[in-house]
Amino acid sequence: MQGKVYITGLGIISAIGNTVDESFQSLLASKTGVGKITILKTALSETHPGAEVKKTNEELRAMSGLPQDKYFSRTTLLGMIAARQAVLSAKIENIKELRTGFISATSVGGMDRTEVFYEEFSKDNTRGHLRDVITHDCGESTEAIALQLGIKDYVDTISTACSSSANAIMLGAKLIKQGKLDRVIAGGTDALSRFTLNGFNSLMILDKQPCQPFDENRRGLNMGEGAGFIVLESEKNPGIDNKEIFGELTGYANTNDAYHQTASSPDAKGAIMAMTQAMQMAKLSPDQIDYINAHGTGTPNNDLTEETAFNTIFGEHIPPFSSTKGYTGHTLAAAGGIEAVFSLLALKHGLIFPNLRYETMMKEFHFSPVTELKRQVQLKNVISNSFGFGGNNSSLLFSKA
Amino acid sequence: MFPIPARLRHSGGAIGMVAKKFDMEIYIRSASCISPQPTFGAVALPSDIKTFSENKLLSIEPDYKTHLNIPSARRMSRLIKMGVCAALSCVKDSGVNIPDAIICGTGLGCMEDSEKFLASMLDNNEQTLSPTSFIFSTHNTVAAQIALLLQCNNYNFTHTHRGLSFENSLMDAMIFLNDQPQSNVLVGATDEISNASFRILERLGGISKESGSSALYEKQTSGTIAGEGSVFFNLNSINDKNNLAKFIAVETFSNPESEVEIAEKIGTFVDQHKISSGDFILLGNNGDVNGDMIYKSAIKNHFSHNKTGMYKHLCGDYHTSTAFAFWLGTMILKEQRIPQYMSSEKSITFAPERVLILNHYKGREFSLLLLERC
Repeated sequence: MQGKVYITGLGIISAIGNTVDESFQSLLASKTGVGKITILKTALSETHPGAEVKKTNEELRAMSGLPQDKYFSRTTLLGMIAARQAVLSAKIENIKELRTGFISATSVGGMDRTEVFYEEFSKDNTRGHLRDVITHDCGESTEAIALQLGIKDYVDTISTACSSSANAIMLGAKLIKQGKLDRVIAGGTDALSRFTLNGFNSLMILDKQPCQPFDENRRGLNMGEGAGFIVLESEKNPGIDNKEIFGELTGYANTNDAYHQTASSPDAKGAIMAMTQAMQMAKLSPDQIDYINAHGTGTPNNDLTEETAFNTIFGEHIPPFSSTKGYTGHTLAAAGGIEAVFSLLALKHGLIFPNLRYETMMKEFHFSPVTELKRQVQLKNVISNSFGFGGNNSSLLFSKA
Repeated sequence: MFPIPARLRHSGGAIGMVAKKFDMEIYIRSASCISPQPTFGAVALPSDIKTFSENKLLSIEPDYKTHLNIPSARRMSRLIKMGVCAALSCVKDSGVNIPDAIICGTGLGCMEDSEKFLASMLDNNEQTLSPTSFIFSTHNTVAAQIALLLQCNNYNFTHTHRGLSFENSLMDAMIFLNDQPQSNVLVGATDEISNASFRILERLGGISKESGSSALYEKQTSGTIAGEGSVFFNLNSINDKNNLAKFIAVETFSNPESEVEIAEKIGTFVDQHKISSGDFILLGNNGDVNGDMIYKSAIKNHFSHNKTGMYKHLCGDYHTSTAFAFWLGTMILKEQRIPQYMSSEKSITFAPERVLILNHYKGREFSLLLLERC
């Protein structure tokens, strides 16, 4: 595998903003998106905060540019908005002039509609609006977005739980490096749903307050929703020299913890392997990593495992790290795409975004995340971690181009 | 390297074109198949096949006490058990304990667990739910459970892209092997019919009003028969006398705008790989009067000199039925014969050089998969 892969476009929508610029401003102002759930109708809205995009489906549809006469899941609408931004940001005028792929990740696809369908269907299987269930499968949102963007050369959907969009980005880079495609729009999208909200609640890992990643007294995660996409391009593409380059994807790795279906291992094997292999691929040593955008969900299990991995890899020379889940909540399959955008913004502007609501150091290690905005930092190499159910661990390594 | 040839530019074939550029060859070292037919256990074409009187073709499940004797099996849904059992059997036959990659395709993932959790959530008004079915509901559960049981820390991927979930998994495997030629990849696909998903398919008009699998291609109805299965392969690039077959190419395209476009895409592949009369064509017709028409002219134009057969009367139609076809093709090449139940001819004696699988899923996703004898 050879050739460099540059990032030339970013797109994002989440609880902290409907555009890259709005999200960036929220990060600079330490403004959280976690609050009362008001759009999704759920019995948990009184007890559990979430990070919701404060737009109704009708409003999102108007923003998305998708046809008005068709029916789309919220997952599709969010994905469309972010993917379109990424394409515009990369100043792509004719998508067909290069071999272009679209690789999107989602954990539950159109589940936000399926659960509406099931309310009727489960009582009587002749009932329930079929339009609410035909958007169920994960490929539906991907195909709808690819169709709208006019992408046909390669379209794929990845679903590896919370590491999904990091894997989508990784696959896109591989296709470019092997010369199969010239350009890939990759990332992920997930809408808040009662299914996932209740799923995480049944596992007792939802925080009833705004989450506190890496804090000794952390209680769990807040669910979020959104989408994040980046445009990956081959260094050989015509006109690439005149484009704004947000960074280069110099390393990536996908490993499996092989420990438990939902919990991560106490020795952090999968997480260590993912970060280490990504650095090896980029031919970088641990002391060359300048910032880690951690997975940092705020659950006792994840954050301890992640710090264990940091300790094993970096020891006392741990680079600055922070979790941005305090802003966006945990956006599941979209997290890797959203956090890739944040990592690239950090790299581009020489900034480190603070980890919100951190108070007390975890007793196991002497590590503290960055808690105040750091400006004018010399960032060359940034790692973005995404760890998921099923032991799926992925790390992306972005470097200054 | 510019300008890019027009045929690469707009077609879904960008990836398929890749295959011939690979220097190394890809071999199928082992294969394991759980399907509605007696395919599990023996690495051979079944001598007798099962016909179904209804339009729901459920898998013949192995005795899990013998083949999946692990405590966690009792918590697993049918899909997970089928997937893990087929995968572990394939790994065992490959002689490789730990694959360098586990890549799995699934159209709908763990339906049964998803439905169970949804039902419990609605019944209990979102209060005091058991997490078990949620834990096992994620699309990556099968690939994850395989990794867990093998203690495999390597590359682990799940593609869930409709009727191309298996094809995209195969492409991922090719990319992986091209990048690391000394490695071996466990790649497969798994999908299940649940009561709810079948009912929804019926309501959507996806199931034929005429019952039974035996006269599938003579039905004059819209809709088809539903199927399921779990099929896994070990791929590597080491030439060995025990290899079952060679995997040559995979190509896909979606949402074609016309029958002409379909015929063109197929024609490009046929020319590129010099498909000849020595090759057997395995068609993914599903008996839907509307569905199969769309590539009728392509078949007539390109394969009039070929022996052809069909496979969906054996496994039903589902998102990853091509994994079943891939297994059949592998066995046909290994045994160098076409079983009678796959051909419309009265008696068939044919030892094919290659098998080309040509599938469509709901007339929306198309794929071409090419296998060759070792």
